[in-house]
Amino acid sequence: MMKNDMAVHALNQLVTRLTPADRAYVGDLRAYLNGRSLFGNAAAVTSAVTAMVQDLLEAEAEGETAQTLLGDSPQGMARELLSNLPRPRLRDHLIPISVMMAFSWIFLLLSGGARIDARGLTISAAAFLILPLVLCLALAAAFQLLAASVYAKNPRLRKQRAIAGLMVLGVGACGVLLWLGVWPPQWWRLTVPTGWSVVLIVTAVLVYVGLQLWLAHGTWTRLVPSLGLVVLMGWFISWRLLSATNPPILYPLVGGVVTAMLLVAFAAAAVVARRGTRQA
Amino acid sequence: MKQTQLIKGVLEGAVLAIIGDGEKYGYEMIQALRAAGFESIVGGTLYPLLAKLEKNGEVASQLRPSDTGPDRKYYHLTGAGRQSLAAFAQQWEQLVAQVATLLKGSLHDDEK
Repeated sequence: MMKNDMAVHALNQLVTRLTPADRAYVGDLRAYLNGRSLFGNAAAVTSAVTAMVQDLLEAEAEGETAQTLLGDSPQGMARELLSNLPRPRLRDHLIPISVMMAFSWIFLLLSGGARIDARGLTISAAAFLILPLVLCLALAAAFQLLAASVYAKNPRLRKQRAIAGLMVLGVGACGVLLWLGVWPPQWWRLTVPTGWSVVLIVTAVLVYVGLQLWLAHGTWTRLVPSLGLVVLMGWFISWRLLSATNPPILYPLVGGVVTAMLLVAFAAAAVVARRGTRQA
Repeated sequence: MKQTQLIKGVLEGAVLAIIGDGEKYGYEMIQALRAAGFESIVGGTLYPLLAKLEKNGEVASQLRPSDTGPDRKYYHLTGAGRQSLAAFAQQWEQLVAQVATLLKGSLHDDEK
């Protein structure tokens, strides 16, 4: 995933050197290709488009445009290309799906699960299964709609389809989150005792922070607000769990210890990520 | 018969022949095709064809450093590609001879 991110960054740099018209042509082509291959071989798509853009830059120097070099049927070319690119490995599907599952589970956990009481944290295992599935399907549907809107003949239809696609994703995801939060499925519930539930929450926050930093590849400063929010949510849920079973005097002590641990972990991960960027 | 249909039939062999001459990247192949008279060939036809040839194992690509940015993808023939090119060349010679015989006969009849 990191290698492809570097390749995408290099491609973005190349695209800025194109003429505005050619940049728009390539932008539409990329949007279509990425939309049609959401869980596909992203590296192969990036490699193919990079080769095209490199050739286009050379062709521009000789007075050509994207249309004279690549043709008037970019949608047809994209379809042919996708049908002939190498099939994605299982790993190429698993990584983005796993990341999405991890994020959705962490937020389900940090929202307090199904119930918090003296016994501990009750979570709906059914919700943990349903949410990532629905999110993956909604995302795939939205990307397909966006891809279909790229070359829509009617420009108004193009914009409307894109908006409809985003609304499908947004409404779908919010609807599912709301349903699972307010009316979690009654079947297949697990209760995690209080001590272990705090460990679970802290682990979830650490995994979330670690994942975000790994995906950011060193550009982590813009993540500070969202990471800070997640740390706060983790602290709040831990406090709620502990307050259900322990005398009030322990709250600030335990809360402070948990917060300190999280901040240390966050700082350590940031240092490691920064070192990784310098080496790259 | 439209020329585009004829070109579709020979384009794969033509591309293998160009690559067989030496390692090339995409734009070099387009320039070589245009120089040989295939002026209507665009990248929209070539790039998917190259992906198909690579998928079939007839060509392989290699990245080489470029002065202007990321490494550039160069294509070369594989053993299977050389065999396909040889087969195409043989079929082409046969076809040219057969069509020439038919056309000669047909044009001779017209003259009568």
